[in-house]
Amino acid sequence: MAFTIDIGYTTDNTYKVNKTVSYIAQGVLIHPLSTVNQLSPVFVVDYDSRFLNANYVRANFLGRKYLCTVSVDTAQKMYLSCSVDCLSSFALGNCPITVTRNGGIGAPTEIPDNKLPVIPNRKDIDSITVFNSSISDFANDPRALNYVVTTVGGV
Amino acid sequence: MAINTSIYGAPETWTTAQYLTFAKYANFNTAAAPENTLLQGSVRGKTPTGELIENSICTQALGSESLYSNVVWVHDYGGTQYIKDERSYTPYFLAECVSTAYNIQNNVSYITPIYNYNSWKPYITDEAFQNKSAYSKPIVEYQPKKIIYRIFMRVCDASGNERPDPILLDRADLPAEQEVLEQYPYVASAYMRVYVDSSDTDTPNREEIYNNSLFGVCPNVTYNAETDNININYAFFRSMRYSHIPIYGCFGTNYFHDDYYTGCLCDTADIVIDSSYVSARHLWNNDFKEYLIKQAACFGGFVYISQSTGVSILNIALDSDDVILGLLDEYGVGHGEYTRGAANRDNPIWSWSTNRDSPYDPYKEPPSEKDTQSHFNNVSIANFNKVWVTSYNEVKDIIKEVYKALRRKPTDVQTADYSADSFLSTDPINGIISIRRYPVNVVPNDNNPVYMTIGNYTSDTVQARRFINAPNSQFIDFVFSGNKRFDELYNGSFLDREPYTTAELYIPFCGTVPISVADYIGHTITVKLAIDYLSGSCTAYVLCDNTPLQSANGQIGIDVPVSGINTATVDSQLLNANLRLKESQRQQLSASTAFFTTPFSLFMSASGGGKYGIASAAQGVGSLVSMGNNFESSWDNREAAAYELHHIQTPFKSVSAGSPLTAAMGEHCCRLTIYRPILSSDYDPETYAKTIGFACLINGKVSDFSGLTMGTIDLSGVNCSDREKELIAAAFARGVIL
Repeated sequence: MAFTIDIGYTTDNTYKVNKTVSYIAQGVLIHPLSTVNQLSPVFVVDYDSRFLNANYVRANFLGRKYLCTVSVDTAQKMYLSCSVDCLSSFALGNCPITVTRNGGIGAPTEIPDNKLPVIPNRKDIDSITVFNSSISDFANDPRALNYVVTTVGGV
Repeated sequence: MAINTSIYGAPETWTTAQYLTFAKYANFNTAAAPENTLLQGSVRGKTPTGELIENSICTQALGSESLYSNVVWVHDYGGTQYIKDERSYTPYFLAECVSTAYNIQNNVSYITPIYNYNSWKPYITDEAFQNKSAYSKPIVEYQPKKIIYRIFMRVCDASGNERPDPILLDRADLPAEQEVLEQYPYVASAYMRVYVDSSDTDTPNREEIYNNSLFGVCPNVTYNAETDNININYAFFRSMRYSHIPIYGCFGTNYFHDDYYTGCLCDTADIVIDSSYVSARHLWNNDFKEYLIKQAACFGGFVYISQSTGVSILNIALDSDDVILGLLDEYGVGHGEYTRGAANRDNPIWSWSTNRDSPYDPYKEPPSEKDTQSHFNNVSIANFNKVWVTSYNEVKDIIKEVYKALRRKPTDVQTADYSADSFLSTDPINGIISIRRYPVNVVPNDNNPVYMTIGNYTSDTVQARRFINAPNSQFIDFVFSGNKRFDELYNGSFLDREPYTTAELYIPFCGTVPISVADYIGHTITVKLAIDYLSGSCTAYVLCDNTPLQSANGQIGIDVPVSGINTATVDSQLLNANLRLKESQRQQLSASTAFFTTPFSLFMSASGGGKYGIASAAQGVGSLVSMGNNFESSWDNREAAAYELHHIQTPFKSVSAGSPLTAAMGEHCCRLTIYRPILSSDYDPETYAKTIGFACLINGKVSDFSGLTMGTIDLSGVNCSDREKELIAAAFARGVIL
């Protein structure tokens, strides 16, 4: 099995799952080292100026993807110091999750959010007339039947 | 649904309508009707008046939100009487009438509020049924998609001058109609006309049903002369000349469906739809537009409400944004909710092949545990005094009469206690137990004016109406009720809840009631104000939808205190003043007699008495001076007594202003005030979503979410190292982008 890697770059956030990667070169031979750490390997490849802007490595022989930084020595070797991108290396889509914050919802939910920038001590007052009642027609017409007089009974 | 074939006949006997080819009628009273059909009236079974029309023909019911469930009847049975009817729902069905008998309505002489010839046989008399040229038929089967309603409005200016032609609600937003509404800004009445599609194709080709009408709900009034009671039964639709279903305003009984009737003349109306606006016209605005649309939506049909797409009602597609479709609840009752545009396809009515797919069953009571309806009662109490409904002028006149009884001439000292005999009190004003002014027109049970009585005293000039005409009567009544939906502003988020959003409800005369936002938001708030006319107190009931949740007490009757003085005291004062006057008159008489006789005796003393006589005369001159003083004093006493006598009068109190009076000056509408939070102007939902995310608590799979996601993930089943699982879990806890 040939120990090759794919070298590319991504502009996505480091905490994005399933990053979009543009690969510069695939099947790049690496120089063998005695040991390769699976979580934070260092790959040595021949110098290629295209790799100077690389920040992403896919190593199929390790079954993982890595974020990397590039360094160059005077012997025309490039060192890709990597750390595993575990968010993109494994299929997480079916994992159960309880989400406490989410941007895809698009609007506040029923769950109180103390990070939402509500201006303290200020309120927007909205006053609605529920309905006009017949009281609205209260007239000062002296002929209007709006007095109730109670008198003592009698014959 | 089961069909009562004993009344409506078997389906094979139903006939296709002449004008509505998509509808089938029960074959009632056409000339071709066979023997033993309803043509003969009693042969086929009748549904007793007042009994619910079952779902043989009833497609649905109109919920309590519909004005049809809150109708006020005004009728003149020996005095104008008002009857309010509130019900949780009102059965509704369609029928057709052919009204060629319109012109012979005067043939009927008995009390009947509508053209009997057009009414359905089971509910009319044989006499009225003689005219066979007119008929009405309940529709037992029709396709809802073939019918679409259109809302017409009668508008007027502030003086009640009505525009001759109605305007269409769907055109109200057009510039031409807005000009009209500026000139006639009040809606006096509104009604729906029916457009039907008789084509068999999917492309609508509608026409307006005009002379041959579909018609709607109407209460059926019965009058019992023995008990003097009027009852309302919503037993049957009444007929009409045109296809009108009133949804707002005032309508004369005989013109219930007639647009020639001017809705502005509420004083002579027999039916008032929406008692909240008994004598008022409503200002046209967007809220009222929505109000009318919801009224139309209660009927659970398609309604053409705008012309935004530019397509005429004759051809408009039923899933157009210009068309709404009323929603019915699980019991087939319409509450004013509706779908619009493409959402109409999700409305269950859309999938009905005929009205018989409706779940409505008038005998199917909602489950008791879901009984959210309010249950208000009529209350009758015994009252042994006399309660009068009067005007200010009448109050003023009767008070004048009472004070007239107090007024005495100086010599008019009563030996018999006139006040006690007449007014059952030594203080006549005590005969008036209370005078209260109400900021509403009080409706007497008996509208016939009679001469007012106070105890045994009967006025011969002042007439008023007895509040009641029976020992037990209802002094408590709802003076208004109305509702408003408490809408959410922030899509029902926590911002629409306490403590972020708070609300209070101002109720006239009851003050401000704190409203629990969680209880009411997203629901309709209804307020009913009950007045106790005897005490002047009032109670407001606040309902969430139809469930009463809160109440508040207040005072609405403005107490008009009128105080007098005990007539015994007045009489006593009059008597004493008279006695003092007579005493001073006697003193004056005595003094004047002495004054005029003393000079003579003085002369006699001086002429015959020597020095003693001179001395006596000198003494007499002093006495004369003294007598003159006595005379002046007695004159003064008399004047003082006379002044005192003429100035004995009843002390009056001025009318005092209690809190109800100041409340009467206040706002008379219920007002919901909502205090909502304000978000920072720097808040940008898009950025917030990408960087912080909205708080939530949602369970699911990772693939169910997108964007910034923060939460707790279960990584069992993922083939990676423990360290990597820790990293993944930590990343999700901090937030990842999906």
